[in-house]
Amino acid sequence: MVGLTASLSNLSRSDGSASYKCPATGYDLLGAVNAPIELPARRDALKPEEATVEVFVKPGNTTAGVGERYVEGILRSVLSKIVLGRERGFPRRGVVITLAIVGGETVDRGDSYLTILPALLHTSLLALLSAAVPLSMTFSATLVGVNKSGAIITDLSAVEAKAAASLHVLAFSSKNHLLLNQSEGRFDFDIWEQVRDRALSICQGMTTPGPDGDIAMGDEADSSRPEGFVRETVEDRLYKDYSWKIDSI
Amino acid sequence: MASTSTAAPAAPNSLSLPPSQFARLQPHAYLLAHLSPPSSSNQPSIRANGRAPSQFRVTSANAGSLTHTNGSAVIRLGDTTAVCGVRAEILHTDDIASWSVSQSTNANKRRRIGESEKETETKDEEDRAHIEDLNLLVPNISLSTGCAPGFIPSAPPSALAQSLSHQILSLLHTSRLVQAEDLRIWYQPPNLGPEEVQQHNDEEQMDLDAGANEEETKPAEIKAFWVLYIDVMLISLAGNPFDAAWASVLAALRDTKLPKAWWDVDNESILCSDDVKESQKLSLRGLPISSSFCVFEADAAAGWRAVVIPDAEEQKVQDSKHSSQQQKWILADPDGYEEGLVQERVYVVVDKEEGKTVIVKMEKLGGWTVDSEDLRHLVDISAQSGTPSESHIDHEPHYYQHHLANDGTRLKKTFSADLFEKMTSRYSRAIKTRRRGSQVPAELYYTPRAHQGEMVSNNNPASLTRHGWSVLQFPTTLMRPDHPQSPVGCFDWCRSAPTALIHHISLGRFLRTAAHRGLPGKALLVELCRAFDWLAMGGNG
Repeated sequence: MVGLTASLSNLSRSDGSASYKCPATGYDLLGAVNAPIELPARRDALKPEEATVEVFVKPGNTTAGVGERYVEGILRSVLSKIVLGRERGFPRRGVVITLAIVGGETVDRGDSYLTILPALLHTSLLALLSAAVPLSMTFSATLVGVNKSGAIITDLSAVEAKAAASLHVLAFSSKNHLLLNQSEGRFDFDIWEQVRDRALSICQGMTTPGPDGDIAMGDEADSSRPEGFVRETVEDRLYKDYSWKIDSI
Repeated sequence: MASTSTAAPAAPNSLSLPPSQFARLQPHAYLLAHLSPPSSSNQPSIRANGRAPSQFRVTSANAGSLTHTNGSAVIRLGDTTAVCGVRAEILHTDDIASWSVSQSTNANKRRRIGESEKETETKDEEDRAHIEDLNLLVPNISLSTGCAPGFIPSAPPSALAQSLSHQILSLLHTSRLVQAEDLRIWYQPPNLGPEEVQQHNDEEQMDLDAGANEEETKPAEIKAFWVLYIDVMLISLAGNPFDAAWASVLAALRDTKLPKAWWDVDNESILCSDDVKESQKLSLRGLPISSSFCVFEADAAAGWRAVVIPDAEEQKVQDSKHSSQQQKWILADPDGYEEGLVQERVYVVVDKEEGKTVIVKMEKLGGWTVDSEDLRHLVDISAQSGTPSESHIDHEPHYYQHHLANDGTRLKKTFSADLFEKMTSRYSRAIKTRRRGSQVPAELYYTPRAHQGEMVSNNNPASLTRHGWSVLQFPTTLMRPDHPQSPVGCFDWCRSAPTALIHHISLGRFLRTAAHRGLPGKALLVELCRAFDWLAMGGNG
């Protein structure tokens, strides 16, 4: 999770967008969110009382296949729980998230999608924030691997991920709830608990908001932690957008 | 006035709803009322379908039901039924574009490492490379069979079907269930000392693409691979498709027999033995069993209000305070009704390894109420009671007799015209009685060997197999009364279906439709003969 870079609102025509780069895995993603919009020809599929979240994942060099359908399902289930789809203006409308994998290793047929899942989650969260879609909480995700000797490894590259005995993607909300867990490979529950603790400390780090909503600002850069990283990216953007106001004070 | 006074006593009756209507109008409240009965009533907390929260549905498995697949299984999880057929096809290494290149690099690697402990690692790696990179396992799940109202028959695969296919494939890969060694077809070149000259000619030609170091060692070489096409059809979907599909894949792979195959130098092709005794079963690594759970939350309006969601730690404290009132229930093996009411799902796949429980896959998504304590509990549940299919597959008799013969002609031989008549009349009678609600056999059996083919119902399948009976199964949940299709229409549908697997199914559907429509026996027989003739021609005319 070292050296993540992201920027918000790169695209002018969508309601919100984000680009995201993860140097450890080499993934480069571009996400766009349109919300709330009318979904034509899908009237019967819409739920009357809340917004429908649609996710589309587009791999860099091929058309989307079964693996993308699967990962879209995961993203949809996580995000639709977080988006406040019953807010004014959202019911019967759609929140459409499009994620394009611009760079990085392509995921082949039958390969695990776990390596790219944290990047997809972060990109969609940033894009949702950029589109000002009401969310009940933010989250951060990380990929943790366990190698054959039982040691926990983080910041996996694609090659390390292939060799790992088990791979885990965990997402924690800003309030330390376990939002998502995807584990594959052979492991037992004790190892998983270690993985969970490790992932929690990676995700939250030292920059969780205190009970009074304050953020304990450490001296070191927050951006090594995904949670702080998301916050910082949004803060940067806000600073830029409101520079006219801040300067005038 | 008189009329209103007579209507008045009936009014409370008309306002109270029967349970079935309540279930449709207020599904969440209905299930909640079942799970949290008033403490005064002294009733146990039970799900609307009569199961305890961590109770799985009754599972039954039937291996070898399809006669012209290499292995097959029918799994029923309550009302969810999955049919799986495994077909093996040969992939020549000549047809693999990068084969010679990848082989030589692998050989180099092996030579360089050479140590014994690394040997197993490279072997594992090679296994993985062969199965995953060459795509030797090809699962596909079809939901477009009219299995549930939401799935239109013969529509393109839905997002659910596609993601299930991916889940099955990635689970097959990560659990490393199938051993690559079973799928390899080897060739040991003979040591032809005196025929050096002839050998040399061959060698010269081979030098063009392969290395010249074969002269001295002559190691055995892989000439081809078996590719397993694993087709799963969910013919009835009442929740929990993943468990049903995975159990059927597992049972079918356990049932799979591959014929003995060898490279014939004279023909320069792969030949297969048609002797059943020489065929070999797959040796699978372990028996990973999947169990699915869903989390039902008491507060239906949780998503409605813009409440501030408490921290995970605070929530734990709160929960322990209100421990008298349960806020969530984890339901094992959810049915279709429950699946519509929940968002949070947990999938656990466990295996046993030297008595220890190993988790092969653990997935949790769609909510934030389940954390490590619950997950530990669920893993424990899956490890002990989550093995319904294990016990069933083991005890299930194996029905295959001649399933390796892959030609349709056998059908023609064994199905004489009067057998058809018997079968159809028996079957339509069965359906008629079923409609009246009595107990009827779900399957009909025929013997492939005796030409006077006697009909038996499935009173005791185990004793039948002991006497060498084979089974032809007609799934009973295929026809939906609200989708009446004519038998001819069904036949046409069956003709366009690509896999051998479908013939049996569509046949059952066909019979059922006919019975449903009250078609006279004669007309039905004509249609059936057409169907079988077509099958006998190989099914592609």
